[in-house]
Amino acid sequence: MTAATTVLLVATLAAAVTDIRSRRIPNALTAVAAVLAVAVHLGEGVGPELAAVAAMIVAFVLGSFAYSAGWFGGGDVKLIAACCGLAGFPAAIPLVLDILVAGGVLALVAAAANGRLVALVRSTAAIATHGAATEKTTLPYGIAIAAGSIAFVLTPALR
Amino acid sequence: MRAALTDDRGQSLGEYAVILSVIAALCIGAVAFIGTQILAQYHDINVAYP
Repeated sequence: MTAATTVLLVATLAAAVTDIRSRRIPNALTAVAAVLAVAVHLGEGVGPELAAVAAMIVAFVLGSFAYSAGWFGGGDVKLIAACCGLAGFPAAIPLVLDILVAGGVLALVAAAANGRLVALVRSTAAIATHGAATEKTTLPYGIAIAAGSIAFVLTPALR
Repeated sequence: MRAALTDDRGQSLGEYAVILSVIAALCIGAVAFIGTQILAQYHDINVAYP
């Protein structure tokens, strides 16, 4: 396990814990993860370093659009961006795909546990067909970010 | 973008999480399928040129 993957797992697991407890991912945590994302690639040369920073910036910009639309919390966006920086490029792409898949699974499992699975499916279908949700189901996405990161690190076939 | 920098909320909307999850799963499936096809074509080319 490299320094980057170790930081990735520690940061995302810590974020999942704070997200479960308070529905927040502290800016201090995402800031440290972002700084470490720059630091862990320093020894790899200019190319990989710039690619990691670019992956982080692109992820943040794209995430900001999702934040503006109300899809994601700001803490989620910054944590995903830091994760992309830690993974570097092109590894950031499968990492984000893993996180997104984990997010969907988390949403379905959480809804099923609360007896709201049918409501979630109906609301999702309403977005797909009419562009507007019939209700808003929130979930601590930090768990999905941690789960996706674990899957990314432990399953080489997903990288 | 500035708002996203200061906001530390960790909650996202489940409906969009499901939609993005389906899109991501389709991307993974497509890449896996196309990757296998391309690998097979490269193998054929490699065999054709001894």
